[in-house]
Amino acid sequence: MPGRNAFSNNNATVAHDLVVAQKRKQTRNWEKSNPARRYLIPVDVRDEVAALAEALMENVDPLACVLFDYAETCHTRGTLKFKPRLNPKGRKHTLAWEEADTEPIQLQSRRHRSVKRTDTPFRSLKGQTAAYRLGAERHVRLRVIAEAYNLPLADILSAFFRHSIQAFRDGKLKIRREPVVMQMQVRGWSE
Amino acid sequence: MKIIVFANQKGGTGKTTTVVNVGDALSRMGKKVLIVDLDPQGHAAVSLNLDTEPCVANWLMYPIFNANPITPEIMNQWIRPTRRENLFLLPGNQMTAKTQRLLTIEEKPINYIKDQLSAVRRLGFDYLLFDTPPSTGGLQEMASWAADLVVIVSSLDYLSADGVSGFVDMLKVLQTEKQWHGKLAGVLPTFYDEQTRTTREQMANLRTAFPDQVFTPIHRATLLREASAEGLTIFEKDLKSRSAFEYEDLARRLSKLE
Repeated sequence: MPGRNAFSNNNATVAHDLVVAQKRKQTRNWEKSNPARRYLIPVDVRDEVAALAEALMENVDPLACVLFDYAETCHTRGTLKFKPRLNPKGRKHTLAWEEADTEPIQLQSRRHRSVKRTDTPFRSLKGQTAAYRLGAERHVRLRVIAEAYNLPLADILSAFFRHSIQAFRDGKLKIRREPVVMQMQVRGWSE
Repeated sequence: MKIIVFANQKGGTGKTTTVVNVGDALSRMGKKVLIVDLDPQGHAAVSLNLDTEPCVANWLMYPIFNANPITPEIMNQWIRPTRRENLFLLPGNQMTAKTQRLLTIEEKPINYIKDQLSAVRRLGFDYLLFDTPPSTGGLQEMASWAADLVVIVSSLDYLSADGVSGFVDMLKVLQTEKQWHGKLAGVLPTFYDEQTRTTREQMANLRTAFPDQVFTPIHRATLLREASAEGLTIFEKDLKSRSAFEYEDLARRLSKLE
């Protein structure tokens, strides 16, 4: 047997003639002009940024901006230095020729071999990238630094995140929240 | 400063637990929050591991016995830090009930509490959360009139729903007869247990009565009771719990309402 309904006497909905609060409308103009960009950064760095954001109950994007700004300041100040070196995993060889005088080499005719597709390592970037909404200005600054060292953007960004997270762990970096003045309006005047 | 009142005419619906946890969630989002405990039981202080004190009574009786208005400096001597960043409390105790009787005898108008908030406004709080007593009229009515947003906290049983109905009627009177400019933020179902038929029925009744104003329910949880007993908020007790997630979500939704 169904229980009693405390609202059964009302013909219309209870809050029918009551002013109700509405969700604040957001224009998202900043987001439109500053789209999220995807960077190929190591999974451990991405996870550390996400974990820190969760611990601070904050979104990843503003945290990424703060970490970027701190590391950039350190870099400008000279306390964060980059030492570019060849990446052994990324080294490539190319072909060149030179004249020689050796014995002729007999080449065997090429035999057809079936190739098992499953043996071919499939290199997917899925899960290895992370998108951050750093803002157009920061992205340009990041590109300038990356070009100065002749390094990929993601390497610089990863190094920046690593540096800032380590500084946070060491207690050298304190992340605080500050009120943002969204809009000002005239409340009075004086002569 | 956004003023939010958490109310229901019925007691035991989870008002204090909600105020304390929403307050802590907002403060963790970087907002400066003041909780004002208008309930004579003073359980907001107990939930935050603080002492109950007659600070609300002092605040509300000050204009009756003093000719000068309350200044921010005077207000500051009654506001207690909670040892949590950005979260402050104006605690109450049994003296609050006596204050309510005094205000009735003095025939103070509906805007009495709102007028006393002018000093608080100058202290830079982003949010002021009122925990109200389970009764009709008096302080609950004055606090509702001062509020920008009203959240009706309802446990999912018939008597609590009846309290919601009565409280909404009171809001309608405030709006039509006393020029209330606040808004109903919504109804918050608490002690939600989807396995109980009564709970499901009451939830359906609420959704029919308030089609777009029912918040995501707060589940019945032992953790919440343990947290109150230990003087902790749910975020201090277990940050990863379902209750913590539900209260954080509620705080975010409230911060987006206007």
